[in-house]
Amino acid sequence: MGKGQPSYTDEEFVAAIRRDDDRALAQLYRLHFPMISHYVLQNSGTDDEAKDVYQEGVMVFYEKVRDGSLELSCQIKTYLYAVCRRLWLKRLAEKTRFGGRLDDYEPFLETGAEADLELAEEKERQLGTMAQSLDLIGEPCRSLLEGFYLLDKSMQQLTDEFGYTNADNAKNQKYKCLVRLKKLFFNQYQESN
Amino acid sequence: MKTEADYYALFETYRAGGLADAERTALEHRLAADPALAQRLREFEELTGTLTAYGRRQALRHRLAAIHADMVSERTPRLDLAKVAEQDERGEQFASGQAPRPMLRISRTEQKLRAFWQSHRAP
Repeated sequence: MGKGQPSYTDEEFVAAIRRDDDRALAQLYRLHFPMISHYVLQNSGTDDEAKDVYQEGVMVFYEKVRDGSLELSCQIKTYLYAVCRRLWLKRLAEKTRFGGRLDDYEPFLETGAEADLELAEEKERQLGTMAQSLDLIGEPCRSLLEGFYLLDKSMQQLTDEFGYTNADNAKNQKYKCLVRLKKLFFNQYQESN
Repeated sequence: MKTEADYYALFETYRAGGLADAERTALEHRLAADPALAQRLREFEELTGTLTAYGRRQALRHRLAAIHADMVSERTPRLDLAKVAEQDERGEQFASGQAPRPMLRISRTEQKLRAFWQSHRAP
């Protein structure tokens, strides 16, 4: 594997990612990137598109492992290939109304990736709506909510940063911001359905 | 009368396990009897759950971007600018054939066209 890093079996990768091992994630990423990069470049893609598609595929895999819902019936390599293949097909269709044949170098196997991708797409839509809602909510709500929910800051830290007189005032402001976010989020989410 | 923000404060304390036993039991009875309140709790959970998931996703994006950047920088040989300048001064760079050669990605069609014209070039 080079650079004195340990090599992992598929089972070890899954176990290591489950315990949030950074080295395993980096090694997994490096291990299969050439395969996906080659595939995307062979099928009318660019280096940047290969990187984007691969990172999306790794995110699908990683999040399934982390939430314990991954049912791996094949090698990780095959799973990632199936996910990225599907993601690339979708991108090509959006980009060029592509209806041609993909230049595959592995037979497309039944991996369960299709069902996983549908769930991942729904989650992506939900997270996209959240990003839009946070963009719309304005300050100080955005920074306050991001500080608490995304950056894991304590209410005392946020009280100091935002200059509230005490943590209770900061908390009340946070709840008011959550109510505003709720309206934005659910309105947009329903509109996109 | 409680505002929506008051309910959010209550739900957050409830989910964090911060209510006294009597308060928790009373709230759970109300949730069982009041579908609107139960719906309000579900929305609160979906909202805060999505916020947290959004945060984790952003963090993962940054990690993958960093891994990718590391991988690319290891693959790309660093050009020793001082050495190149020194060679350039001595007029060695091109003579020694060490000038960096641009890597061009050529499409298959372009490759076929080049091969075609190569074989049809006038002697």
